[in-house]
Amino acid sequence: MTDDTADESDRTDAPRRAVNRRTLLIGGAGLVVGAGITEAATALTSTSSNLGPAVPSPGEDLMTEHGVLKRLLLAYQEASTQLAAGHTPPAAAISDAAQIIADFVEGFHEGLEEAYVFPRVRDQHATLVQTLLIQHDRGRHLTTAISAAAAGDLTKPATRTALGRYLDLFVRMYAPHEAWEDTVIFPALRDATPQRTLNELAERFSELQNQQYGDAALSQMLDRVESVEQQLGISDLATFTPPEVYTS
Amino acid sequence: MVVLLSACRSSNGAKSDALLMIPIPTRVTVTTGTVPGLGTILTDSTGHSLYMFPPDAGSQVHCTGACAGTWPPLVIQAGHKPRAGGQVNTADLGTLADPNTGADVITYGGYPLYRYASDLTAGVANGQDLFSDGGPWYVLHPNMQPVTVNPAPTITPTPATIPIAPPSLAPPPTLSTGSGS
Repeated sequence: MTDDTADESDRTDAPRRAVNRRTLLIGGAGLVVGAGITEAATALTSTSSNLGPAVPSPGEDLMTEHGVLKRLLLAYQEASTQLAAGHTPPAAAISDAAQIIADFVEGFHEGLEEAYVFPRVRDQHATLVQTLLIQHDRGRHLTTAISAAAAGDLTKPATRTALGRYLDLFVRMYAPHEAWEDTVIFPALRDATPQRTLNELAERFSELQNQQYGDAALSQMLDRVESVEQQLGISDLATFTPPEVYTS
Repeated sequence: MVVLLSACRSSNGAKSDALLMIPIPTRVTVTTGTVPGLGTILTDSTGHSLYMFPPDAGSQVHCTGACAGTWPPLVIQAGHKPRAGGQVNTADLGTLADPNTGADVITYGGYPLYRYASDLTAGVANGQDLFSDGGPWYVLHPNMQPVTVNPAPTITPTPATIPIAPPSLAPPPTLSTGSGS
């Protein structure tokens, strides 16, 4: 099962897919926070692929998806802050964010990790991979709880408290979760995997994403994320910039 | 449609997926075990819970692509028959061509069987009643009926009820090749 042999006939349309992939990565309107991540990912994991530089490596691809998750974590954080301050955040924003997370992050992105990444690094990072798998499960159940709470009556203190708690738990778990994947798991994947297999994984990820979401997958996701951010009032990156700091 | 971009030929001539690292044994036993709150359910020979996916009704495999990472199909090399243990009825076991691996996926009552990637130990069913990849996932009673109850406490708007047990660091399931699952 780990044979790297590939049918050459299966790769005849690689250039077309490469173009699609590049379009996905550079065409995402609103990719603000994630842009720096992608650049860093490229520097960290770029490959000298014989398919051309336009094809993102598996690590870069997964880190870009982590950028989507990071923006949703900011949305959750903002919603929790509003709850704690006695305000009522727009329930639709929370529900939309949870839906994107359930579908794109927990369904697709984590499925790729579980199918193609974790098996390749499990020997080197057994304990970490187990923790990541447990967190995937906790996350899926938390998302179910967040969706249910967001659909409840947010004027009730118990519902507000529970929703805030679930949001905080999710953010607290996933911020380090993706940080460990970015800094340990994905570099380990690169180290443990022959270049040819990395290229094939890049193609596989691209093809699966196109099949599941269409050619404009990332752009569509970012549009949805931006809508969530707008509802919560955090769509402008500049709002995250602190006031000028003066030193005495 | 499922991607089989990187494929190789196994000894029996069937295409297998070289990128999807799911072992394809020649001997697999489907048996039964007990999970608290769920009763007697189908498991593999290592005691890991087996699940069905309602969209697979009509002997289809709908869990493909990334889904097969979260819910690895219980596969067997094409041409081989699964064995029954415990309360499993041999006549209810079958196989279907698995579009993920190129092998056969084992069925029970016509439903393809899957493991859950986050079930790291035997005797748990963390994926029970989880809505994932477009549908709910259920463990199966040996009478072929899906178990639709959720063993976990219902999450009510009370923070203390959410399950946040510390991670179990038990070793992951070992999927042996050639000597049963």
